[in-house]
Amino acid sequence: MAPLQEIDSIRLKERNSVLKKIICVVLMFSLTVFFSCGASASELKSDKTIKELSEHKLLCEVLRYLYLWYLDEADIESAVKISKMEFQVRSLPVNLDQGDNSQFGEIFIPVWQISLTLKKSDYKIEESEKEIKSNGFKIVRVSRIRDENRQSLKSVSLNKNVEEIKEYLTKTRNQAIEFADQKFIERAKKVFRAEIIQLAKAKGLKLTEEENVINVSLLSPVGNELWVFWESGKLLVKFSCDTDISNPAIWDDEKVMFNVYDAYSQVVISLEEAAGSNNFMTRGQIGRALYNCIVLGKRIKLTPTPSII
Amino acid sequence: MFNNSFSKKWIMVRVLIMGFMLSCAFFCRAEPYREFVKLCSSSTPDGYLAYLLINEVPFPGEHSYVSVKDSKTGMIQILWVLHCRLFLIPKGYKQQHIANTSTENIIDIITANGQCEGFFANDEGLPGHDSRVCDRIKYLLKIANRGSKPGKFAELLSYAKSISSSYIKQYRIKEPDIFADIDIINAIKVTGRAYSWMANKDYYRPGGNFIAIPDSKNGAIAGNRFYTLKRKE
Repeated sequence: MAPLQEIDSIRLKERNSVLKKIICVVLMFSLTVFFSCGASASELKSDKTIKELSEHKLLCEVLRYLYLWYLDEADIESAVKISKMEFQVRSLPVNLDQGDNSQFGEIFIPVWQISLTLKKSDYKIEESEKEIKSNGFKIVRVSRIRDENRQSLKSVSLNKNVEEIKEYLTKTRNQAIEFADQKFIERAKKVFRAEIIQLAKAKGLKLTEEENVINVSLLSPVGNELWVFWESGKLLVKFSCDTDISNPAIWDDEKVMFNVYDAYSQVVISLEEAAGSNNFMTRGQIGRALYNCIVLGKRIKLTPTPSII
Repeated sequence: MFNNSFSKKWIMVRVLIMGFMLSCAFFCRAEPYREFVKLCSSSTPDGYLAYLLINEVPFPGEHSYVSVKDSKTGMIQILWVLHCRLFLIPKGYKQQHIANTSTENIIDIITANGQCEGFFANDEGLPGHDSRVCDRIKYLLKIANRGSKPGKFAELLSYAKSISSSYIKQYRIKEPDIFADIDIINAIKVTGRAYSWMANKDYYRPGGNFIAIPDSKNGAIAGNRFYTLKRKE
């Protein structure tokens, strides 16, 4: 090769080598930026979850929910003298479907070793074009759990003044827990009427005007369950879903799903008597459900009378 | 002159009407019926197994729903429980004590008395299920077969169908058992593998030697809590 051509060839090689280095640097930089942005987005979501779960009102409503549905004498006795109540709050990292912006979090109350998992749903069911969007965090699960059995994730610890909690709960005693509005009740009645006809058929009951009464539990701002007690059938019916119970869209569905418990025959003192079965409730659980439906809840007569079976 | 202008107008009107009708025909054409997913009859072994798997996990919009992946994992782990009850009885235990039956048939495992809620052997000894099971599946199928393309409902139903058919053919599961290697929970030695599942409420428990697999070991999947067994030396 002539000297000039050799020089050109060397310069070309050097230039290619420099170009390759530049491309590598740019690629590495882009990847770094990409993954940093991703990490930041999930951190932001986690911070948002913790902030919402740390709100005083939400924590108070969680306590009210536990008081009505879960706590027993031993729990109250263990906490009656404390002046500060600790809550450990954290975001739960969950792999969601694409396009699902739901948030999951946990509140752990060390004094009772109670863990609550909460979810704020935000996704769409494409097949039916239904928005599944909660108006806030809802309790998905309550469990008594030893600390070492929880997932090891960082928490934020909050110490709340018990007197302030009591003040809030007392002040909002009559207003914080809502009943569904009249439109919802009308929709729900229609669904229950259809369901009760089926249940009556299954139990061999004849429906009359007098036997058409249901007692509907309160709706908690942080709960996502609706309990109904049908007086004549002695049946407890529980409905729960992934969005607000009072969302009319779910009650317009062709088929609303329930769990049904016979308050007469599906009751035990302890679930050890019926180990392995989802079919039973304890007398304590039945008692709480009945208290919430009959004493605190709303009595509704279903009219017009469903067809006599 | 009058006739000419009238004829022209009449022709224009006819053209407009034709155009309008063609447009309606184009935009309002009937959607061809699409069936994205169809399940085998529950009177067949793979259909019956698929019904159980679908019954036990949440679908979008239902309580405890997390994701498609979570519900699929739930189906696989439930299948593993059934398989373990059939073929992987740990040392010191008998199948009868864990599964309330003695069998090598998965349908018997499902229909054993008091085991899978909503599934049972009827008076003729044939596998049956509660009407609520069927009602829900019909409802899920209806949603799954809507729209212009298959979505999450079709994906989950098809998955249940596929793993059930595959299992009935070979009695093998290609996906790993995520609980296989657990050997200690709360200082109690356990057998590993899950031998029971229940709705994930801590007031439910299988009793006996069943030990709940905790959150720290991913024991809660698709709204269910899985249970292993205390090891017998």
